[in-house]
Amino acid sequence: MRVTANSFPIDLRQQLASLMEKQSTLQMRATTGQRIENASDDPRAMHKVMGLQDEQRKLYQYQKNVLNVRENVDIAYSAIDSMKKTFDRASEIATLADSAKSPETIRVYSHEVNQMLESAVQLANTKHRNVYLFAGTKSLTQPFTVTRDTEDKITAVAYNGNEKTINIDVAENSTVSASFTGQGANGVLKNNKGADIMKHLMDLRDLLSSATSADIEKIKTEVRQGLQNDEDNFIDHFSVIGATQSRLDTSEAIAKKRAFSLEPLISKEADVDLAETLVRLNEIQNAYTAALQTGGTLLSTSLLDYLR
Amino acid sequence: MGIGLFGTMEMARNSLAAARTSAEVTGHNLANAANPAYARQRIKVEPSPALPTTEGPQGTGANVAGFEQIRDYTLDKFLVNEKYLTSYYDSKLTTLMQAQARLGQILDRQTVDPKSGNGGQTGLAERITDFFNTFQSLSAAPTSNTERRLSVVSGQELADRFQRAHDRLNTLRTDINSEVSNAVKEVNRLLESISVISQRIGATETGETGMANELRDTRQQWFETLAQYTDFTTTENNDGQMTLMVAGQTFIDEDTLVDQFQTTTITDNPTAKQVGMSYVKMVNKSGLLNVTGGKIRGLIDARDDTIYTIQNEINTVAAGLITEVNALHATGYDLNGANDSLLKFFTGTGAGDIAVESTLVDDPRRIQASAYANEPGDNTIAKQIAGLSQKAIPTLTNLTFNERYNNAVAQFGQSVSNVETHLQAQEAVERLLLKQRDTISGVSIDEEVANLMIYQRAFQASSRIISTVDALLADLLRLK
Repeated sequence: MRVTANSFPIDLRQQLASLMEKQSTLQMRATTGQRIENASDDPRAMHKVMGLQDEQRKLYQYQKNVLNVRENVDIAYSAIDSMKKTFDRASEIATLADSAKSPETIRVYSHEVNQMLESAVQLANTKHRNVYLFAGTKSLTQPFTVTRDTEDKITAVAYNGNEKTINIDVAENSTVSASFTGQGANGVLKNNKGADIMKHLMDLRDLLSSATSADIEKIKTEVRQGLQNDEDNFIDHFSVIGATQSRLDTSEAIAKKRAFSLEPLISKEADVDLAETLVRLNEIQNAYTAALQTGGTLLSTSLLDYLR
Repeated sequence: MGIGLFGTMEMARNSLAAARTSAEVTGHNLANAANPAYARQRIKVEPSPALPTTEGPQGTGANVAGFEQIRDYTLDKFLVNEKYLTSYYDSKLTTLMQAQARLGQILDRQTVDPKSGNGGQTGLAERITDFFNTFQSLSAAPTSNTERRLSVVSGQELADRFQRAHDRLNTLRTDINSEVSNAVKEVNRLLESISVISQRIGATETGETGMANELRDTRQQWFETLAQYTDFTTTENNDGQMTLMVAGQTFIDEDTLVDQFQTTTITDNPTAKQVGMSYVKMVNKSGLLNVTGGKIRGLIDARDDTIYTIQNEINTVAAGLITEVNALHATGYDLNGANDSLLKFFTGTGAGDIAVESTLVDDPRRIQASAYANEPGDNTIAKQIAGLSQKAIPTLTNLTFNERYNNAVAQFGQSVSNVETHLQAQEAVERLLLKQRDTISGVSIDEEVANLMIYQRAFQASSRIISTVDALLADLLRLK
């Protein structure tokens, strides 16, 4: 084969360009740690990575949802717990108030129960992030409003919320109830199973206030039963909240674990094998140096060097 | 009787001339050693007619018979054919690479995405997911003004990405029109030049083939340049006149320029991808010119097929998103408990004009996230909108928004990758042919220098003959 004046420079130029391109690609991979950057680098891998990253983002969002729900549930738990403590004292008073005590002593209890009622209303209207916790889905409306008599005593408590709750996604096709209702089938303060803490506190207060033997008897026979229903309702809610918190923990752990397990899959598609890349880069660098050396020698030598 | 001393002197003179001319041709070759379009030349030296003598015919030296160009015309034609294929893939790849950059779907594993804590992407895909995620957050806190504001901002970011991708690809398609126009100008300039040089070749070579070597070199170079823009065929008649045709249409007829390229737009029922786009026709004939190779076809194919497809896919995803989100939003109630069935979340009809409804931008409380009047804490609609991220959308061939977009990106990447592979193979073929041509037609400096030595020695030897004959003549003259 004839080798002409242009053969060496053209070949050398092409080889150097090719080696430079390979070096550039490998160097880019080594510095970024990525095997692919654009879809054209490896369309199949890019498609897979995009799908996996989409899944990761969704899982991250589920974790955020869990945090939101947990925050609501924790605040609700705190409010219900405070109500329960108030209620415990009311139950105690209902037990203490018997015919052995003087009417004056019992009336003092009445004042205490009245304050408990005020506290219960206040707790029932607990707001978190500007939202009423126990208003159902009418969460911007104050759920419990009161009517007072001339002595500023609460005579009636009206519920302005509704009986609906909302569900929030914590995983694909999996939701958790994230709100509470003050009243209704599962109302925190009044339910269909006889719990009605406001009414029972008002009844207790009024009966303690009048403190007749008939009233004391009524406390024993009726009010205590009502308070028992209230206690059952609180315990029900504590158990529901506990179960919800446990479910949230599980959902969060699953979402975290899944997101974490996706990372190696993404890495497998998108990241380089650094050792292999560096070895190949070294090989190409050697080839580049060899091309420069041999090219330089060949290009600088001709027959003219040996003619006088 | 032989040729005698004077005849020998004349023979030596001719030899000197032949050696000198050979050295000149070598000089010409060496001067063009770096010119890849140049085909090396050789001097054709033939023996002078023999002189009949009593002893038989006697040689009378050598004469320069002409100059020969070492060129393989079949190889030249092959190269032209390969050039327009290479140029086709090259221009297509360059254009698609630009489109890929403008699409902006780049994987960046080093930048940590603050929203997910993972390495991210910087394109539409994650904006789509983020948009639905903000509605997830809104569903967890439907009365939160912050979440409502974030939903609006996320919608704006998504709309902005859609518009940017659409506009960038649109601009690229429009820019390609200018490139087609520039290519057409270049083709017309080359056609004119080729016609002129062919006429000069004809005039030069009338009766003496081989005299217009340099002109043929230049014309071959222009053929190869023309092949970068369009495919074409050439034929030569017995008189050496050249006819050049593109897509079966004659542009140069027997060295005469008879037609030229012209850009045109399709006005007769253009398809969506053809509206406002430039194509090529003949100046003197109506109808599109079906150029099948070279830069012009590469640009048109990239513009009308791959780029249009990805742009259309993005538009389809955007249109589906607008329709689905708006359909749900229209049924909801805002924080004030009011329903406005005409209040859209997104305005526009596709990627080109998608935007978040200004009413919602001004007042995010108007986002209709609740399914019931006066129940601002209800999250039904927000949850349903968030759920669209996993819903198979009928208008997207029952794929989710992300799936359809991811498929489009992968398909686009595959197209770019295919063109890249074709180009690599094509470049290898062209390199091989160029090497073959260089092997035949290229100038070897060593070879030329070695030849130069021969010519030098021949010149020296011929000079010696002259000096010897001169000495003999001097000796003869001294006899008297």
